[in-house]
Amino acid sequence: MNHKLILSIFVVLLLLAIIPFSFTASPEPYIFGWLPLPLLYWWSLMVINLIFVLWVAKKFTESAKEEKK
Amino acid sequence: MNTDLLSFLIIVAYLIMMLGITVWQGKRAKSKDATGFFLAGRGVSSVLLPLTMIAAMQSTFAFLGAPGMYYSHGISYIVIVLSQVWVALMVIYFGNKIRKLANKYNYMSIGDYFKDRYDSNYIKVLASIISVLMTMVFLAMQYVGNARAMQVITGNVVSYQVAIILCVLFSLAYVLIGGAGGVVLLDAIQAIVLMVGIVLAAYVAISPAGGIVNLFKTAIEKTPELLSRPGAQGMYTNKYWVMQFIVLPFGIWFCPHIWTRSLMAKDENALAKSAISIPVSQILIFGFSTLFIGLAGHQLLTDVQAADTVLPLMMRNYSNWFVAALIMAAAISAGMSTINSMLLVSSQIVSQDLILLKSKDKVSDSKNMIISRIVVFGLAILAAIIALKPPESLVQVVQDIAYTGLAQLAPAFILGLYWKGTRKEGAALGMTVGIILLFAMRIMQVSPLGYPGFMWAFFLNIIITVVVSLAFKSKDNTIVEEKFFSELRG
Repeated sequence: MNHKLILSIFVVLLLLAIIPFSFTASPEPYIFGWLPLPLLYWWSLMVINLIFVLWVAKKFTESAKEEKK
Repeated sequence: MNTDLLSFLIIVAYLIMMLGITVWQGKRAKSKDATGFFLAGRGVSSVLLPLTMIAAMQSTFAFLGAPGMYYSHGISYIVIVLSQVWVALMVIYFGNKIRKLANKYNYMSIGDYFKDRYDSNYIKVLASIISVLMTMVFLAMQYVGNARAMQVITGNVVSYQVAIILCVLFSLAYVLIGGAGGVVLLDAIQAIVLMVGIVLAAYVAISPAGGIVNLFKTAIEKTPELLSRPGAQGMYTNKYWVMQFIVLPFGIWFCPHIWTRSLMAKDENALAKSAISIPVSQILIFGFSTLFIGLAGHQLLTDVQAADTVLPLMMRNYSNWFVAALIMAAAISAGMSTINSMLLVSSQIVSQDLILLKSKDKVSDSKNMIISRIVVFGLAILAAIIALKPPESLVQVVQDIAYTGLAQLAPAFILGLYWKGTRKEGAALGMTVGIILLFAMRIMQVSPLGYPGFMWAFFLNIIITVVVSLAFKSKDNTIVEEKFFSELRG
């Protein structure tokens, strides 16, 4: 497992979520006329986080298999 | 027959059906020793472990707490998904490391690890007491959630107190008959039921609001304060937002009923799948379903006395009684599965780490099992007594008390796993000061420089653990280095 790469991506994703950006303090603009920008941002981040976890889990099981061999 | 009574009968029928499965499974896989009873023999597969992880993590929070939080504070509550996703990485990294150690040295609890790593009964006892007390708060809130759901959906045919008694009786039956082996299968079924149930509940809630787009359009018009930070009550300020990323992931992972899932894993594949189940279920439940339910509740309900009752009230008002009863059976199922896991793990800690602290090896398996079952019974009664005085919001109590307390175990645990220089003096003092400071600041209701007491307690805990460990670095550490850092690097 490439721990350094995983750690770097984790830090970037964590910072993107943990920093209370000023644009999340206002619902405007409304994307498509109804979706508040903060929610679009958080939903997108949520999906990217999921993809990252799936990738780390895959690497983890591959590495465990290699270790057993 | 009146539909309120029929709703109640459907819920009871569901609970009895689950009991039947537990009895059947309990007979099939009878637990003869404590490892079997508490950890399902450390052999839970990659199919069952993710489901049991979902069932343990997604409690009545999913059906009652989360819609209530979205109802009260708006979309900012999505921070739970953004922060708790990292529990998945904790499972992969810390969970796998502790699983390997547990298999090698036969750990059954976090206390066993602390005792071994730091050679200190004090740290083991302190960690066990923190774990049990915080879990009892969490457990009591599960009883509150289940009882509220039952009371609202049956139109008060069942009083709150009777609902508590019913929940206690069923949870005791599940745990005492099945042990972890029975509970794992039950958890798997309940996880599926709760996921289907919450999606169905979201559908029921969105329909009268005119669909998702209209739901947001109405919110823009009437309650725009729900659609950004800091939310309708101004809770999600910058500092509070940042704090959630420490409290929520550490708080939930150090919940003993979540932590022990790693010890139950059969292999790395099971562990990885259980890690994936966390963001998947969080997104489905907290990312979408409960967000829609909370916003819809804000627009459609007029008289809500406790935010946690938003979902049952929505189901009662906007779906037919049968669908409402099924959804609430799923809600109760979510609470029940978490209650089972909590009862098991709390009794494990009390019996194995506190009562039998120095005599575990001298007690026979059968006597150990009797003690464990008596403790299960006692803890359930104690939690029920706490639940008799319900708060307005379950989530707030669990986040503010249970999660913040449990997160104080993190510095000694993580530093102990990865830094061989961590000494027992540092870990003991850090944990002690952290927990005392946390509750002292809560009682005094002070937030120096505007930062919540938890932040001070947590970071002071880390600093003390590191500084005191460095001060004691000349002490001989050969045994720890050989035992923990020779084979298990990385």
